Amino acid sequence: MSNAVECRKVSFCYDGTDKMILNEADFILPYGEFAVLSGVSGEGKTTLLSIINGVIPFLTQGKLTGQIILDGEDCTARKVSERAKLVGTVLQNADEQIVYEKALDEAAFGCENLNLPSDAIEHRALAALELMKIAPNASTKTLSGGQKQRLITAATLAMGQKILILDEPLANLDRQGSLLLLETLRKLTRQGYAVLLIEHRLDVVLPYADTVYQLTDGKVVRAKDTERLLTENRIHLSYDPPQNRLREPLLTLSGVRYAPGKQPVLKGVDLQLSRGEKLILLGENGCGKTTLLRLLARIVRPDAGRYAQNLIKQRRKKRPSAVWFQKAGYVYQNPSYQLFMPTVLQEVTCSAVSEGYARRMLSLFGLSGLEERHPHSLSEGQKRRLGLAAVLAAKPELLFLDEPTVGQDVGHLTAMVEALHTLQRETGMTMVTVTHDIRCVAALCDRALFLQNGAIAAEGDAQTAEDYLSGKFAI
Amino acid sequence: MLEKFHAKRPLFPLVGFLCSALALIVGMLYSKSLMIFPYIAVLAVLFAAFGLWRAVLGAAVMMGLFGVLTGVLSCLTAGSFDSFFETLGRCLLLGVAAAPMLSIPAAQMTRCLRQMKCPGAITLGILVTIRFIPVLLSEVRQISEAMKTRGVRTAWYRPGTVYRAFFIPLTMRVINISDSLSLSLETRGFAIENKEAAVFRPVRFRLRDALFAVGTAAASVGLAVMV
Amino acid sequence: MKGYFQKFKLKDFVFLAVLAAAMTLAGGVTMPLVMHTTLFGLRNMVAAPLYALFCAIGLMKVRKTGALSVLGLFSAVPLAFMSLVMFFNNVVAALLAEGLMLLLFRRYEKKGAVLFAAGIYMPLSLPVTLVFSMWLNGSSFNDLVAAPIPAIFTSLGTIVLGFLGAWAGCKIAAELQKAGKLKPYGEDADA
Repeated sequence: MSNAVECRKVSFCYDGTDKMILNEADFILPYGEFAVLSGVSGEGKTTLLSIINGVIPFLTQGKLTGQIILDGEDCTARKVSERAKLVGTVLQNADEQIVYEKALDEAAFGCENLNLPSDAIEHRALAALELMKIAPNASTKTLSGGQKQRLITAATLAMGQKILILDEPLANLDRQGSLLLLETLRKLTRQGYAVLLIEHRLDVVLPYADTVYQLTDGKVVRAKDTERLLTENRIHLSYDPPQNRLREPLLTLSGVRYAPGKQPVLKGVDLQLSRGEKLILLGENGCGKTTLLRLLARIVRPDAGRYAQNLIKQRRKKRPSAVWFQKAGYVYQNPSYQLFMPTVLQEVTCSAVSEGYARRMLSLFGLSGLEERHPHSLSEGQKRRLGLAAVLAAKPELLFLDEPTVGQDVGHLTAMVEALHTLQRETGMTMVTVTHDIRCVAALCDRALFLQNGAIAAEGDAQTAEDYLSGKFAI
Repeated sequence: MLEKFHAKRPLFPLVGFLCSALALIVGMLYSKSLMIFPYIAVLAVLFAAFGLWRAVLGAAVMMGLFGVLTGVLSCLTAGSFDSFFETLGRCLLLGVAAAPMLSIPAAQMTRCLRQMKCPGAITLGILVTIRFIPVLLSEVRQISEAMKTRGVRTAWYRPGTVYRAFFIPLTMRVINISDSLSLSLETRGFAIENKEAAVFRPVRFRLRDALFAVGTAAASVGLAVMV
Repeated sequence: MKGYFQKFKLKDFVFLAVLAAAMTLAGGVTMPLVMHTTLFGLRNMVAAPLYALFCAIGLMKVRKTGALSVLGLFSAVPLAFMSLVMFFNNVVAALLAEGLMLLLFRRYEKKGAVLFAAGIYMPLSLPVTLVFSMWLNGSSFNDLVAAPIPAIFTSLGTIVLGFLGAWAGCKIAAELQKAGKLKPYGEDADA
C-alpha cells in the first residue's frame, strides 16, 4: 500500500528572499497515522502544509524543487483544486470561510465541486455534520466560533479525502470542542485516514497523536522523545504574588445582566476586582467570558444591575471617555482591529506616555528593529505583540486581555508573559484575562472565575484554573 | 439580513426575477393613473396567496411609509395632490414588486444561475457578496469599538481620522478575509475552469411557478386594458 | 484586442465580491439620509465618494479589464432584491465606465486609468437614472430636471466627489502596497 503523503527532496524559498524554508526535506506520512507538526513560529510548518495541498507554488509564489507524491501519484504539477480530491485542508478563521446560510449547504459545497451525485452529497454532508455535532438546519450566522470551526471541518470531511491536513484547528476551540475534534481525528486514523496537524498546544494533542515531527534547519525530523518534548512545551510559567498589594476595590458589578438579543448572555453577575489583582475568566465557548470582559472594560453597557468604577473621576456620564481608555487598556484577540498607523513606531508612540517608554515597549516585546515597518506587514505573532505594546505604552492602570496567547509558540509566549509580569510588578497594573491556554494561566492568575451559562459558577485560584484546563476540575 | 422575508416554499428564482421586473415596468409605465393602486392591491393579494406574505407585508409597510413622506414633500413642491398619489403609488409599487425577489434565498438564486450554466465564479461571487454584508457590518463595529479603546474617535467631521482609523483597518480586513476565503474555496475543490460541478438540491420549475407567472402577467395586462 | 484582457483568478473574484459587500454597506449608510429627496442627482452625489473609494481600491488590487464591471455586478446584486432599477443602474454605469476606460487608456496599467474609471462610475449613473426615469415614468426631460440649477449643482458635485473618492482610494492603495498587501502593476503574475 502506498503512503498517503511523500515529500522527496523538497526545497523552498519565498519570492524576494534567499532564505530556504525547506532544504531538501523528506517527509512520509503513511495511512493510519495521526501526526503532529510542532515547533517555533516561522520555521515552515504552514509552508510544508501549503506545499502538500498545492497552495505553494500555485497560489503563493516561490522557488520550489522536489517531488510531492499523494496516494502514490506524483502530484507535483497538479493544482490546488485537483489535489483537493486527495487532500482535505482545514484552515483557521472559520468565520471567513463560510459562504452559505445553512450548515447543510456549507457541508455540501466541497462535494458539489467534486461533482458527486446529489443523493451522495446529502448522505456525506449529513454524516459529517453528525460527526461534528452540528445540526444540518442550523443557521451559520448564529453558530459560535467553535461551532463554525467544527462546521468547516465537517465540510472538509464530507468531501471524503483520506488525507487530512489541519492548520491549528484548535485555536478557537474550548476544551470540549478540542477533545471532540481530536477524538474524531483519531477515530478516522483508525479507519485508515492519514492526519497531519499543526498545533502549538502539544499537551492537548499528544495523547491522541501517533508521531510528532519538527522542522529543524529546513528538514522534517521525527521527534523521538515525545515526553521530553511535552515537558519542554508544557511550560509552567508562574510568579509569586507581590507582597504589598492594595486591596482597594477598582471595579464592582452587582446583579449585572446583559441581553443584546432574546437570550441573556450574562445574568446576575456579581464581581469585585481589586487594584493590582490578576483575574482570569474561564469557561466553555459561549459562556459569556468575552462579553464580561467587554462589559468590565465599558465597551458595552449592562441592561440591568450596577457597575461602579474607582479608576477615574467622572461625572455621571454614560459613555467612557478617551481618558478611561488610556487608563483601562483593552487588547483584542485579533490585533488587526487596533492597528492603524503607517509605521510600527508611530503605532506605539501615538498613545504612549513618552517616546522613550514606547521604545522600551518595542524592545520588551521583541519588536526592536521593526520601527519603520508597516504594522500590517508583520506576521500575526508580531502584530499581536505590537497590539499589546501599543496599549501598554499608554501605561494603563487596568488591562484587559482577550486570548493574548493564541498561536504563540513556547518561546514567544514565555517572552510575552515575562514582559507582562515585569510591567505588572513595576506599575501595579490590574489585569483581567480571557484564555484557554494552560501554559500561562498560572502566570496570569491570582484568582480565577469560572463562567457557565452567563453566570459565575465557581471561583478558584491558579491551581484550580490549571486543573480546569487540564480536565481535572469540572464546574 | 433578509431571512425574515424568505418564503417557506420559494419561487423558481428566474420566475421571481421576471415577475418582479414585469410588475415594476408595467406599473411604472402606468404610474400616473390612479388604477395603479388596485393593480398594487391585486399583486399584493396574488403574492401573498403564493406564500410571499412576509415579503409583501414588510416591503409594503416600509415603502408605504417612505411613500407618504416623499409624497408629502412632492405635494408641497408641486402644489397638487396628484403629485402625492403618484409618488405614493410608485413607492408602493417598488415595494410590492420587490417582494418576489425578497422572498428568494440567495443560495436558491445562485443554484438557479448555476443550473443555467452561469459561470461558477460569478454565482460564487454573488453568494459571497450577500453572505459577507453582515460579516463586514460586524467588522465595522469591531473596528469602531477598537479605535475607541485606542482613544480615537472617528466622526464624519474628522476626515483624516476616518481615513486612518477606519478605512485603513477596514481595507486590511477586507483583504485578509478575501485571501482566507479564496484559499478555503480552492482547497475545497472550487476552480473557475470547473464546469462539471454538481448542484446540491437543484431548483425545479413547478406548476405553481407557472401559475404565479400567469397571474402576474394577467394582472399587468388587466392594468393596461383598464387604463 | 490582444493585451486588453487578462485572465481572472479566483482570488480576484472573491476580493471583488467581498469589496462589493463593503460598497453595499456604504450605500446602506448614505442612502437613508437622502432617500426621501426628489432632487435629481442628490442620491448619486451622496453615494459617489464612498463608491469611488472602494472602486479605486478594487481596481488597484485587481488591475484587469473587466474588474469594474464585475465589481459593479456584484455590488448591484443585493440591490436586485430590493429595487431592480438600482440594479440595472449600477450595472450599466459600471459597463459604461469600463468601456470609456478601455477607449482612453486600454488597460489599468496607469494609475490615471484607475482614477478615471473609479471617478466616473457614479457620475455615469446620472444619465442612466435619467433615461430609466424617462422610459419608465414617461416623464419629459423638463419634468425630471424641474429645478435646473440644483440639478447642475448635484451633477457637478457627483463628478467632483467621485474623483475625490477615487483619489482617496488610490491613497489607501498606496498604503496597502507599503504593507505588502498589494503588488504594483506588472508584479502580479497574471497582470
